[in-house]
Amino acid sequence: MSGSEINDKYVRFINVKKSYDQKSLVVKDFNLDIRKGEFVTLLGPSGSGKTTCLMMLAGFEDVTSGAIEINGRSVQDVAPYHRNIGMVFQHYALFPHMTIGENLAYPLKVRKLPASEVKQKVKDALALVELDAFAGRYPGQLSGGQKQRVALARSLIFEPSIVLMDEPLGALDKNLREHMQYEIKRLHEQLGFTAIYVTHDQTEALTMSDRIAVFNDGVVQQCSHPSALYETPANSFVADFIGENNHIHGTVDACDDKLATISLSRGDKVTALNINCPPVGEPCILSVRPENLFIADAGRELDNVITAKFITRLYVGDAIRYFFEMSDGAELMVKVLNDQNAPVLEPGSQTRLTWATDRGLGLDKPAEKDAVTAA
Amino acid sequence: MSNPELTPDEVKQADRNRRRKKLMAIAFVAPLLLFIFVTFVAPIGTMLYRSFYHPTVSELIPETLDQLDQWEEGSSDLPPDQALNTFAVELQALAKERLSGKLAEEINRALPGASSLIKSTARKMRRAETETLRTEGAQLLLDAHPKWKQLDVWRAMKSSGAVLKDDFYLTALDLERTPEGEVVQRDTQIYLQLYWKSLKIAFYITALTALIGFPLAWYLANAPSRVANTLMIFVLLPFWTSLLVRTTAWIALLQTNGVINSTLMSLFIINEPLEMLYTQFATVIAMTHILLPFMILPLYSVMKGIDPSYFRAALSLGAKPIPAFIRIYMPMTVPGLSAGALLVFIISIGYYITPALVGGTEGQMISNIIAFHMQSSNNWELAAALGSLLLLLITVLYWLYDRLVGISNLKLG
Repeated sequence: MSGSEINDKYVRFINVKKSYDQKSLVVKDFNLDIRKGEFVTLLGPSGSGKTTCLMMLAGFEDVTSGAIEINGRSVQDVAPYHRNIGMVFQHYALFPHMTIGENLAYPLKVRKLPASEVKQKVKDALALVELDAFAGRYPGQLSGGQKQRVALARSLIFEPSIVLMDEPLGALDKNLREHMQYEIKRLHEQLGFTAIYVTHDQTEALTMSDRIAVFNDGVVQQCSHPSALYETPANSFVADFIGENNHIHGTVDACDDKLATISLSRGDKVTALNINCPPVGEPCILSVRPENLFIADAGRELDNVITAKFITRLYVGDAIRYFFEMSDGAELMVKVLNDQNAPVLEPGSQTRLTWATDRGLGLDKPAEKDAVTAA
Repeated sequence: MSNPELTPDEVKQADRNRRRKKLMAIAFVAPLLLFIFVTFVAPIGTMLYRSFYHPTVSELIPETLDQLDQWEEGSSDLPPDQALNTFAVELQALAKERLSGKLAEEINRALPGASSLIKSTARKMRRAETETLRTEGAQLLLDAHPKWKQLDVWRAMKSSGAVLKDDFYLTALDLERTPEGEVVQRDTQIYLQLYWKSLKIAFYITALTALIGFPLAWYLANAPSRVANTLMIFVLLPFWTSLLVRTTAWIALLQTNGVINSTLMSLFIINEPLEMLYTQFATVIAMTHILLPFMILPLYSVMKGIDPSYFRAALSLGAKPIPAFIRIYMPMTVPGLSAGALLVFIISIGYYITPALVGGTEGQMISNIIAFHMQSSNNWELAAALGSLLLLLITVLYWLYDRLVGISNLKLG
């Protein structure tokens, strides 16, 4: 393998399967190549197998079948303490009987570094996370955000090439979480480690990652850049899991490589991008994001138009959400910026809604189980 | 910002509410408080009091003791005739009421041999006229037995007559008071040695329960809940069995022709039976078995609460499993370990029934000698003094523990 290829495939999951009870698979045939220095997020609902993948990479769970390689070498027989992987846990896992300084020094001391070097590195690490004055305190005396920063510093202090983060911000409140997202991103850019991040929070995944692998039911549904994931989801699970979406039921009328014609329940025919439409005649789903659906008025009508009954509007500050009901009972939501142009509608009035063809996605109908998990 | 004050009426209302809540709280705990007072505080208080308050002699010969008050113990003269006369009268009165034996027993404790002296004199005094005794009692007394001329007898009488005294504590600490009033060590050490042995046995038991309990608690805390719950029943089983049954089972196991000896002999590991029953070994092993749950339960509850990610974090940071276990996991179990150790140590140091049944003479502990003084030698005051010292010892240990580990670190389950 050439050098660049090794760097492109720095961490590899090859056909990885995992079963805890020798009956059912928690992870089903997981494949993922991670570039050196990349920030990859494993995103999915709880119980989808993402944390299990992380634990297998860290060496705390063994692989039922398949292989995990780091830097071209299989790590199956490498003990967790020899893998040199930094790890940040959801509940910080700072040792409560040691001070912050001792916590940070621990990985260096087990590596038998000279005392002066340990001291210097601890000082540098504390400066890195802006906690210089906290070396003598115990974890119990720190706030959640401070603890998380110490946990981060501890996972980085022995200069691991890979850092794993298992829902590290799950226990923090919203403001702090946003601040820490920025902090983690800053450290990632500054130090250039390979980061694998596990979360069930899609906003977190979208803002931080180079690539996101969306998990469901032990299978990766899609692994792509955040924008691709949002704009061209591979299937209805991803479309639903990432961001908000309107689902309109219909039947495939015609389809080619790019476009699909879908007839809706009342006979309206609309066109949309063919993402993974089933064959002609089969039921499918048309998915349009609330911000791509517009209330039509004079002079502003896009490729597709349908009519729906206005129900109510919900004021959320920067935007207003309008709720409509179609004749078959399906609910639609339109998101409109809260500016002068936000229309005022009579409840019960029939309103025309419109959207551009390249903003509508023709998708397969999800199996019942997926719909439940996504909810 | 303004800080409006409460009006007097509002203050009154708030006070009333607070008082009602307090009353409710007291009403809830009152039955328990009463129960504890009657069955626990009062008996212990009486016991403590009894260890230094001893009015028997002063009730038997109050007037003599009044007279003896003026007599110096250190003087080389006998007490004045007046005092001797009074004593003769009181001794006669006691003899008539058949109480002279009790006085003899009491004085005998301070001066061995005084018992027969008092009893024989009392018999002679009974026959004399009370009026004669009032004036010539002293002479009759000295005629009755030459020992009455010895100063020791009177000194013993005076010292036994004191209502409040520390003699029992001195005895409990293997000390005694010389006739000159100096406190010196006794020739034979009984009680100090016994305290020391009790401490040692309690320490062995604590160490053994910790050694056996720690791995088991760790296994229980990390096992799947179905397995852990089943095993927990076995841990708790001893609690549901009578203490006597468990101790008797140990007798069956350890005795000369018991299960262990016969098994070892049939396997030709030993040629003649080992002496295991009625030794210190038997006390330690049986009590370890009985007290094991007290160690396992707090340990288990603490270990159950330790997030496995601490250990994983240590491994991910590069520590090998055994150092990580010692440096990271063990310190987190200290609250449970110390709670278990404190429980086991304090319970075992005052344990009575098991050492009494399987300990023989070698395995006796301080509680057994306390029971002996309560039941056999009828010296309740000494038993009370020994018990009070045991209580003091435990309090000191508890204080030491608080200084070293901190009571706030304790977790009992």
